[in-house]
Amino acid sequence: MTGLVLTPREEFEARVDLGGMLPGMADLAKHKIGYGGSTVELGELFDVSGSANGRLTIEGGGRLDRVGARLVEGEIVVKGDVGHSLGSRMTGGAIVVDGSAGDFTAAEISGGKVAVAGSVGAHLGAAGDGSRRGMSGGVVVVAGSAGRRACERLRGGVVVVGGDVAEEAATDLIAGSLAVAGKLGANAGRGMKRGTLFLRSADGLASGFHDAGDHDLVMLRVLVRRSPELAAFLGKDVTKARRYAGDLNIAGKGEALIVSR
Amino acid sequence: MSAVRITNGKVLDPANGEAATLRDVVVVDGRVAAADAAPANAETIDAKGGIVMAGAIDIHSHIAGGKSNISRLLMSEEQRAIREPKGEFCGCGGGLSTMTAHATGCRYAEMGYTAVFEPAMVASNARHMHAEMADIPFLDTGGYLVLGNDDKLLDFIATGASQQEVNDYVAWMLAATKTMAIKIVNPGGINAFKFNQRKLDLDEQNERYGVTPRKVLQTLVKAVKELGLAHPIHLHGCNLGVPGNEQTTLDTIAAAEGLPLHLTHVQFHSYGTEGDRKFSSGAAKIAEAVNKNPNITVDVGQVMFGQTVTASADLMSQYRNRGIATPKRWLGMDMEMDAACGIVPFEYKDKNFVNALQWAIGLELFLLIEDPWRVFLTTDHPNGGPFTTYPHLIKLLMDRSFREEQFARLNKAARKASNLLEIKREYTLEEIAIVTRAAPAKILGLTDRGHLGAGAVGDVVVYREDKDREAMFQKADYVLKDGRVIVKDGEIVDLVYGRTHQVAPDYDKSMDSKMDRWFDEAMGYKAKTFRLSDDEIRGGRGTVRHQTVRAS
Repeated sequence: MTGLVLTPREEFEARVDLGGMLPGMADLAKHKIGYGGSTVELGELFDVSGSANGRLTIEGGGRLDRVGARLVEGEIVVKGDVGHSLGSRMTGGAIVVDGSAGDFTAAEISGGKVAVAGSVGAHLGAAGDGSRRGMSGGVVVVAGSAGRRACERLRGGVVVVGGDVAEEAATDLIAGSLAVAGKLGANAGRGMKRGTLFLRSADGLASGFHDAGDHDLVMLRVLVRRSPELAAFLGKDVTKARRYAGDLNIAGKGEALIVSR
Repeated sequence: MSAVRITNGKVLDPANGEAATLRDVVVVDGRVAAADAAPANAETIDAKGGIVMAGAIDIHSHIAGGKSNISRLLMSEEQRAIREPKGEFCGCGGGLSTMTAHATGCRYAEMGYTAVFEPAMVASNARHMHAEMADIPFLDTGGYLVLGNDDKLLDFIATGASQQEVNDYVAWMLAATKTMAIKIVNPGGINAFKFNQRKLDLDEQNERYGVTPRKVLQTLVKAVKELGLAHPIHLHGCNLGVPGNEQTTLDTIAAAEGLPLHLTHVQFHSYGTEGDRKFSSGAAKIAEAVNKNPNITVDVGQVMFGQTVTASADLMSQYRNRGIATPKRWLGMDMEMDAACGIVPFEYKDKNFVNALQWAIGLELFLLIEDPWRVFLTTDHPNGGPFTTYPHLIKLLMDRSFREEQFARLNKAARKASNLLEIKREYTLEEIAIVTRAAPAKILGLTDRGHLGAGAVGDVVVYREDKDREAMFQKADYVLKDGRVIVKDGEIVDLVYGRTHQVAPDYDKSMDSKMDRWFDEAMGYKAKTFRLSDDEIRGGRGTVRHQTVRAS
């Protein structure tokens, strides 16, 4: 069950670009990867052991960028930290990181699951350069905190952050859900069109959000059944929520639900 | 001493009357030299089966500056989708209609272009534009300064300043911005737009200054003549893209009163109002007028089908077109007291009546204007289509059956409305050499470019003779820039940077203090901050200055 195991031979002198490396690849050691400004074979930087069965473990992280970018299926486990663009534009499969991750984590993914035990940088699940749409499907769970502009232009899917998020979260969010268990940075939800923010407090919401009062939402029970990640955040049998509507500055139909536990 | 000898090629050099002469071309220390000037150990290029021409010159292509940069931001998905292929000397940047600086140089060089001129430098953008042009490899560049909507000039005209004073002002601005020529975009119209006028014909008054486009045009045409600039006024006239603007264009030609005038992207100014859809070709009338008036030169601004981005200082017309933006986004902005800027992404479709007819109008102009020395090959990159479509355009001009094949795909009503099929003319290779090389060099006053006579700059191109002219002009076999081989078999093999060209006519020094005062009163910065120095051009290399004879 272990599948392939990559062990770094020594400490990296430059950043390693693992974009395009997929767990199901035969002859992984010959796969070309970026190393600083040059291109090297993966076998030069990592010891490759085990056999390909769709699961790939990287023993120890560090300066590893674009791990699992464009992943379609299979599972990647990283025992350590990773750099930017973890799982960006993936369409399926799963990535588990037991350290922290950099900017553009899960940017523009359309399916699959990304779990990060530590914190992530800016632009979590957001739109990358040259795109008008962020993550459009899949699930992202971050146990720690997230940086600026988390879920900017999010188009779909569920993102759960266990810690705080920095300012400008959910800017121009189009659809999809973001749950934040910790504190919210300033100006969250500015330009939000649709979609839902699940929060513990309304502090930090953009000025265009207006208090719509307490609600008894049976819908939340259905949601909890459908999404175990949101269930962990909302708790069982919760229906009470304070609802804020926004961003009314752009006549947005989004909402922020304040759910206490 | 570096020397290159190109042997066995047919030399096509219309400026010196050479039509496919079999002779050697020798380049010594970056200049074309006599055949016996090369030392025995000179590098030899065998051009057997090839055509040897001077490096091509694009007289009108928006390759740098504020509008290009904003287009890149507005169409960021294009930057992501179209990346430059990796190579030893390329591989950074991308885009097509919003191409980045390095990619622009590479794509032009591969086609055999060695000089490209940016036709719209808004004065307050000059510093940025020069910096960006310096980042474009392989190409000689230069900017045309946009005047005619700047408040200072309109103020001069409105308050009845003498022609002499206007000339001094124009010369001061040319020197300050280090530019090649004067461009007018919608004379007075952009300024009028800022005061809520939404159209301005040749004889309508700008409400703020009471000045007509005709007056602006005639004042500047005279200034260029009296300053002795080689390139006439580069005019983007009134009513761009408006059906029925053919009359405005004819009036504009008459308004030049025999003085030299260059009408740019004239295709966009050659529309009639006949037919059910009130949109028709005015190409025949415009071509007739151009044929009759030897003082007029034109570049066509051919429309090529596909996605592109239109970027222009003409905010009046861009504002009008904002509703047809594809994809649906546009941008307009004010540029200090100089002009404005409008970006509208657009996709030209062959099944669309108007677009199809625009395509046909452009080709009609190319084919009906008789003198190839007075018409230039452009698509007004990126407004009519990206410059990478030039080889396709050359094939359309040179190959009648191919042209008819493409014509058959057009929108049916457009086919009915066009007379293109009646025109039998095909461009010869020599005529292509004229419209892409010899004539642009002549009209820009670049005496050592666009030909292969002794003393010319060592910008030489070898194309492999091919019946498919598109394939032939897509990738040059060899391209030499200043005597160094930069392209071999269509691949970039060396990195060379070109020079920036400028003209610097004299002006009365009292203009210095007048401009100091104007900047203090009206602008957000000092005149000395505005003025560019040679240290800022190409890392201190400075410009190539072209002499002007100031007529007294």
